[in-house]
Amino acid sequence: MTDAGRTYTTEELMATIISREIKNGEVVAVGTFSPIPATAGILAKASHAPQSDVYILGSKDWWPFSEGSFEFFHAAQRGRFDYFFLSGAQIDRLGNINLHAIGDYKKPSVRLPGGAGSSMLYYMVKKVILFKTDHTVRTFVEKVDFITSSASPPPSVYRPGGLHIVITPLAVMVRNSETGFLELLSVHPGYTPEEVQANTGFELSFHRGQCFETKAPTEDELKLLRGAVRQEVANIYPSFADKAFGPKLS
Amino acid sequence: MGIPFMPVRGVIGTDYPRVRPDFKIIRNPFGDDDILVVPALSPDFTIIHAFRADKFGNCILNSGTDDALLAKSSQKVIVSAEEIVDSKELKATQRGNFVSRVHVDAVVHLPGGAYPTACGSIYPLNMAEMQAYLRAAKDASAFSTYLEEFCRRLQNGGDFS
Repeated sequence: MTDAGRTYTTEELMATIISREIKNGEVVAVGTFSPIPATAGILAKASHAPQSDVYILGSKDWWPFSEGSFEFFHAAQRGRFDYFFLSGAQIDRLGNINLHAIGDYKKPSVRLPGGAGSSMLYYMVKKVILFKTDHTVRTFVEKVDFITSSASPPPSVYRPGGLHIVITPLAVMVRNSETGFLELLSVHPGYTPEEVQANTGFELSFHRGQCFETKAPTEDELKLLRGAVRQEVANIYPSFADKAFGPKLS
Repeated sequence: MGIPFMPVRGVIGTDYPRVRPDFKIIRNPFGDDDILVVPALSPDFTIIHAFRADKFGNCILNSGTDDALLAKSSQKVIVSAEEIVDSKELKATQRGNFVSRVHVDAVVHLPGGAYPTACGSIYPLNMAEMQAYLRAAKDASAFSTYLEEFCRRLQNGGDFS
């Protein structure tokens, strides 16, 4: 979608925010149904992080594992990945995610697909980015109905990794390391902190007392996105590539 | 692997232990942390599709899948294969993952056995067929009609691509 006066799509903005987090040489792993993080990894590699390794599940060209998912999960348990991307039908104030059920687990109003590896990956990948393509009071809740994976586990469990940032179509959130609560880091151009709060089911403080405006994609980023990056993404996620990118820039 | 359980990182602090009483939290006997252990899975049967196999059950599977792991954890393993070749030719195969006859109980020559999903570079996933399957699977009688038609089509030498 492109709002009046805006020169980029929401997908392009979210991918750009993620891409800027990736430093050259870091290892980025992308799981199932994650076209925005896949776009971000490809963009980072095509621009400021050419020596990064980017692994994209479901793509022959971007998946160097020969022994299947258990090889991938073992590599994650060994701490080989700097970035992984998770989402949830619900995300709560503590950064817990729910991929299991809405309502009571035994009598759910909606049964969800389950967590796959997320209950391990959230602990073992150095920097986990949560991404959500909608931002509403139904998805950002005070407390999830089922904790599929936790950003605040007990100290008795080994957890070298954890939550880095949360990215939505409206804003970027980050965890306060003392309270464990998600806080507002930046609001995307065209939105206000009040709008973000009105669409969030828990109280959002400004991180360190300040709220920034998210930097919009630059012309260079959009050129790359709509050129070489889009072509790569189309090989993996053809229907996403059809609608997520704006018109090609000359 | 033939062992009764496996430790898994993470998970402690989630709701899994609440709904999965077979998952246990133990003290790491070699460290000073708590760790989750899960019981071994050992299916009665595994049926996997190979690019090629020899008559002894040695086979070449699509790399990047968990098929070899499944074969090594099951009680009985049936391999279906696009083609049966002699052992020398099988050993010379460059692509895919080799699984030894040690893990295999039976071999079936079954060209198109992965259809309508993909079989490596031999044939791609057939999206139209998958969508027809998904539509039919919503309803039991529609599905049995679909299944009959699907089997008849393949028995009559259907095209797998």
